[in-house]
Amino acid sequence: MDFVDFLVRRSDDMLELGLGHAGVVGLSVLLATVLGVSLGVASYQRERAREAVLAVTGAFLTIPSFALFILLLGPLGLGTAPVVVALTMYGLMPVVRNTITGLREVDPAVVESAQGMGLSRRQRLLRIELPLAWPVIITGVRVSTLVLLGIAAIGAIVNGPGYGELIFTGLARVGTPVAVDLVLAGTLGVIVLAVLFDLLFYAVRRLTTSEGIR
Amino acid sequence: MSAPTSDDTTTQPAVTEEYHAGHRRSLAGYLVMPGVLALACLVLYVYVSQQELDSIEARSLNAATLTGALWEHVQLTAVSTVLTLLIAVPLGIVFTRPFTRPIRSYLITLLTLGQAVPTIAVLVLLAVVFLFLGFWAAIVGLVLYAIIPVLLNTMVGLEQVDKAVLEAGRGMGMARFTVLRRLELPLAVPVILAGVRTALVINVGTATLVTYINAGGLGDVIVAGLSTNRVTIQIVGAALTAVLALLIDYLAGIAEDLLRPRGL
Amino acid sequence: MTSPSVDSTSSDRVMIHLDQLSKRFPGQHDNAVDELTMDVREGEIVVLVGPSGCGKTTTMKMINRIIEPTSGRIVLDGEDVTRTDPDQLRRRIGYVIQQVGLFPHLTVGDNIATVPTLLGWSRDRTRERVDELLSMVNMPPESFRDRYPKQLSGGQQQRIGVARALGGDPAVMLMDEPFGAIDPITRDRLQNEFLRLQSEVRKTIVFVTHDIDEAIKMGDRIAILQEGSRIAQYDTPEQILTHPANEFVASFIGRGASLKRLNLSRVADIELSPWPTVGVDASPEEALQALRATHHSAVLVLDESGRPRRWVGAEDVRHAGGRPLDQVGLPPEPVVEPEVTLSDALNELLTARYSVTIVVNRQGAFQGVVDIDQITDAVRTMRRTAVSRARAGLDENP
Repeated sequence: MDFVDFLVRRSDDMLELGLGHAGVVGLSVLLATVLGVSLGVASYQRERAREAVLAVTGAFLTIPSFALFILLLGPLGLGTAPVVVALTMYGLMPVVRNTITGLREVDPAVVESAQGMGLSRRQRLLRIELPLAWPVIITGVRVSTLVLLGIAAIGAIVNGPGYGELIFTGLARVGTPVAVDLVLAGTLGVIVLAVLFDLLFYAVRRLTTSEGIR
Repeated sequence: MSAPTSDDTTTQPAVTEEYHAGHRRSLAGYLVMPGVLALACLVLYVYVSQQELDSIEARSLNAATLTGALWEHVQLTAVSTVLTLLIAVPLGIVFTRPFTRPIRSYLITLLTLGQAVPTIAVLVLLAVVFLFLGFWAAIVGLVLYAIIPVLLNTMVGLEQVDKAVLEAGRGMGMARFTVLRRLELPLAVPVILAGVRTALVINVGTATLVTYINAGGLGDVIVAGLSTNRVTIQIVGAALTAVLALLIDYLAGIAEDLLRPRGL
Repeated sequence: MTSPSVDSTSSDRVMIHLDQLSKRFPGQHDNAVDELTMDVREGEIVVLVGPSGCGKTTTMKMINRIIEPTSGRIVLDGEDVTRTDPDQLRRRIGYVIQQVGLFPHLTVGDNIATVPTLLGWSRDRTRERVDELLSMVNMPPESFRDRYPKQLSGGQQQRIGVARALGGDPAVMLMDEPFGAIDPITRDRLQNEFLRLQSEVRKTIVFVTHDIDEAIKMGDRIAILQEGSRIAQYDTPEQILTHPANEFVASFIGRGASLKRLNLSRVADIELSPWPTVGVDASPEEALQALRATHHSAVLVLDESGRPRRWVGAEDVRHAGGRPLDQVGLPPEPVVEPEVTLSDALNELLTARYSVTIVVNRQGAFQGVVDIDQITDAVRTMRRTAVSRARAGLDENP
């Protein structure tokens, strides 16, 4: 098959673009997780703060990615920087939301008994509440990752790394036989990454979740 | 495909209604977004009117061109959303009937992974494979992409309808179809409304990209700015797109609050 | 055999002193707790009991400052702790709540190790403490240490809750309806176990319940509280049952005070009846001989250590067909230990095959039986004492 030939011929490219795509998504997910969990922790106990944080991060997700990349072009220029910033903004909402949900679902009796045993606010959060909310939080991170893998392809507009490059190159050559191969290869690359990331999350979740709450 | 596991799917509700779960807002909360958007438009207007526009910029940045692009964008969004709902909601109902139970968790995992397929890839594939361009090509692409999240929303929503209520309905002698029509669907209204909002938000965003398959919309403005290297045009296009998306989401949110059945 | 808590051996040293303690919640007009002053002595169980909304739980939660008092002082073992670091304070006070609140992501052992770890105990000392506490609550360490809370029954979880509260060997324990969410049969067993545990550890305990029967059973002293945590009466269970201080107390105790008094006496307080027994190696002839010598229709088969093995009647022996005595007849039920109240013993024997309850000591060796006559006698004696005490009281205050 021609397409397979194409993939074999371009395997170095595929690998390099894949690493770039995974790298930019991985970095953004990491940033979104750190920021999102912090925002969730800071806001989950007060209704107004919760609503404000969810409204703002939700609004980020509403802004079309094409528009956001362009708007970030001015301050950040071309390349990886605007892509990472935009993807981090998109990744926040699912993480924040699941952090808040997870923390609020922790049994109040568990928190009260921790308090009654003399765990400080910080100890309660780090040793009891976050570990118990963790399965929900990591599910949010997983959703963020899948959404970001797709959006990252559009980052090629601002010269971001990843499979988007193949898709846009194919678009530029509409009507030539190689165009279909290019677009298919880019799409397939993203899907393969999605499956790999999903397997990774499955493993991480099993390894980092206590047997007692599985 | 990755192994879908039971513990993966039990937490799915938190996953799939990812865009917005309706929470009622205070009056002040209702006024924040229009205020922010009006301010953004004002700043944009002042910024543009203070610039000395050259002929290329003037060709894009005039009322006729902008409202034309805006109108196309709204049409794309509206048509694709209606079609998305017409397909995704009935499909969601079918997929939650008992006969799908053995494969449902696999289906949900598959759909979740499907969300990773880039929107641009769907549109561009239509163009390069079928040489299918223009408004209706865009509609097909938009609908294909937006079906997945709305379908997921509907399925999760219907699954969440309290099983006890349904059993009570069956117990009172309602037929299966009556249970669906009189109990399941009304109780699932909030979920379907959330699906409408999700579809709108996704479609208004994706419609920015259909300029690449000659289907117009506000993306035209941005691309015009990119190809002529005029930053002002780029910013106006992008900012208008963002404002339109946030406005549509805001209006959909209000509709959601108003239409939700009381008591839910 | 000692009977715990009845002959209250609490010292006169005051362990907890509440001084004009008040709590008003924001936005409320009345004090939830209104200038409460009370003392709890070292080593005693004080039960706070009263109708819902009377402020008993608020009172208890102010002692470890889960709820901060609006005014007043809390003095713990002579030290004013009203303003000290609450986390440090709580590590010195065991805390058990109705919903238990075990940490689901930690093993049973790690749950119990929580406070020792916070207190900076060495690893070895902590591990020893965990095993010691598990044994104390009758849960073999080797099989329970590494389990997770979800793998335990409700009763077992509550036992772990108690063990965890004892982790740092606190002098004081607060217990908020600890047995409230447990089925009645398990609750009874846990209460008895807890009383036995307390007879060993001798903690100062503040125990909250809305159940007057539980209060009578568990308390060395009972504080009956009215709205605003005002003390209606603070006295021993005997005094409250026989001398209710006012209408409120009388109506709170309710009818059936004589039956409730059965909760005040324990099997250890009365003289047990004998019952014919044979050894497990006895021949059928020996068993039949023993049966002929008594008017009871069965003998109790005991093993080498004197532990009951079977009830065996004449028919059982005849149809044994060469099987040893511990394989015929009926299982030796019901069995109680001397700590249980007469009320529990009565409950058991009402449904028993031979209308008696077997009493064994802590090693499981047979001590005697309790039958209905002994219980009736006990009720009669108590009523007589109550009446004479009441008369004596009248004489003192004419």
